[in-house]
Amino acid sequence: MANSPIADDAALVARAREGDREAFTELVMHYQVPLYNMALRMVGSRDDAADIAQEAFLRAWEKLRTLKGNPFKPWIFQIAVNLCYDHFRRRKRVAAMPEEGQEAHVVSLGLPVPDPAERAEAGERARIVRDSINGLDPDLRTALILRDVNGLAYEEIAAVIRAPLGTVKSRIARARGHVQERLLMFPELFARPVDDQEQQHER
Amino acid sequence: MNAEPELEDLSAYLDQELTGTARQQLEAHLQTCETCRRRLAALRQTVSAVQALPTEAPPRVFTIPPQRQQRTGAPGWAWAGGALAAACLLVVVTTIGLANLPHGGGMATTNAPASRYQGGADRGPTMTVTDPQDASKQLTISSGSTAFSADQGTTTGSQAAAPLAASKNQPLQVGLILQGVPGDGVPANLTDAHVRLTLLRDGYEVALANPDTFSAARENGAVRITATFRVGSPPLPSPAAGNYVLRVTWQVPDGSGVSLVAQVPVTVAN
Repeated sequence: MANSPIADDAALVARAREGDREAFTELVMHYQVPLYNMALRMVGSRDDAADIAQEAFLRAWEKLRTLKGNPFKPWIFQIAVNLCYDHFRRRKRVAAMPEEGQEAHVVSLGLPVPDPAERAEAGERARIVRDSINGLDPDLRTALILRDVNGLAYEEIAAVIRAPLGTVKSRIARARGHVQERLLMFPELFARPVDDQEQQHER
Repeated sequence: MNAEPELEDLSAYLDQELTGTARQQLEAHLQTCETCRRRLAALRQTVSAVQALPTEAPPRVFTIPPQRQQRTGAPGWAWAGGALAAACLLVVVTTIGLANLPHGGGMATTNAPASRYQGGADRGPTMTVTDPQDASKQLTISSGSTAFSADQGTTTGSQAAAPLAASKNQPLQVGLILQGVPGDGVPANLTDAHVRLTLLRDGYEVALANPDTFSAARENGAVRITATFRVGSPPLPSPAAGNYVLRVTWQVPDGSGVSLVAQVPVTVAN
């Protein structure tokens, strides 16, 4: 999804910079799901996340000529991350709003787990994971989401947050550490894993 | 590496972002240290839990209004909206994202991007969602089609090349595929199918409850529904013209309480 060859993006950006809205539409279509999901995990509200994604695309369109030869992907994520921070400032608090309702608009993914009891448990696990992420400091949250929700490489994350690789590495690790502590408070849902090597052998 | 590796190194190792000597040292240490293997396994489990969060579809279509221009003098871009001010109420299926209305005497076609949801360039916009926890349950919505092609599963609308348009005489057409409905019954109406259809714009939601025509059939384990609506009949917000999202919500009839939601963009012009 967000892993398009950079060359494709570059060609679309070049066309869009000439005013080709169709080319920009392709970029929107390509990045709307990852960008929306990044914002959703950052701010926790579907409406706010959609507003942020919409505004990010608008700003990208308007400022496309300032992009010059740089890659589009970290740039559009950077715009959206900045908007998430603006959102936090407006809210004057950092904690994300609790996400409304159940997971509704779900894109095709995942494995079959037909048992309703298991489904309920999966829902509860997801809720706890979301809460754990919401409890993170925004800088740590950003790093974790870009890595584990969006699957960006460390270098891409460094470009998004404009920080050295060492900072990226450190933030991701600290964020994971905090989330892990929180998950271990629910041993019935997140059992302690066995030895990593044993796990590997079992596979 | 004699010293215990830092959390940072274990974390980067999981991401394959630890290279060279650091990686070799860590791997050597893991061979001999059960504690660190457990630390790594716990970290891996944490990462998996975060990665397991479902990816959600955006609740609305992201658009760039035609009046929003690129800074520093982008070439002018004439929106064809004016050309559509003709005649009667017209439903046009547009691309997702930018309104991409072409010209041609009040009729409109759609260009390829919308069908990226699924299907080919000659088809209307289609979106398929799969229950993330039960892949046998799948919901597909398409707009502008009068029939479904016979292929299986994620089949999309198949009104090849024909203008994806509707007027008072040619109403909005909605195609649905509900994959994984138990039994062999055929629903008599939308309620019976546990389906809710709405048109959304700017937080305004209009239920499409009473189709002019409704047909349902079973095929290859799926329930296929085609419904048509006169777009003049639901109380659209004034002015009615504009970009909408056509959304379907299907409560999966397996007692799980899960609803699947899919949507496609629709433009109403008058």
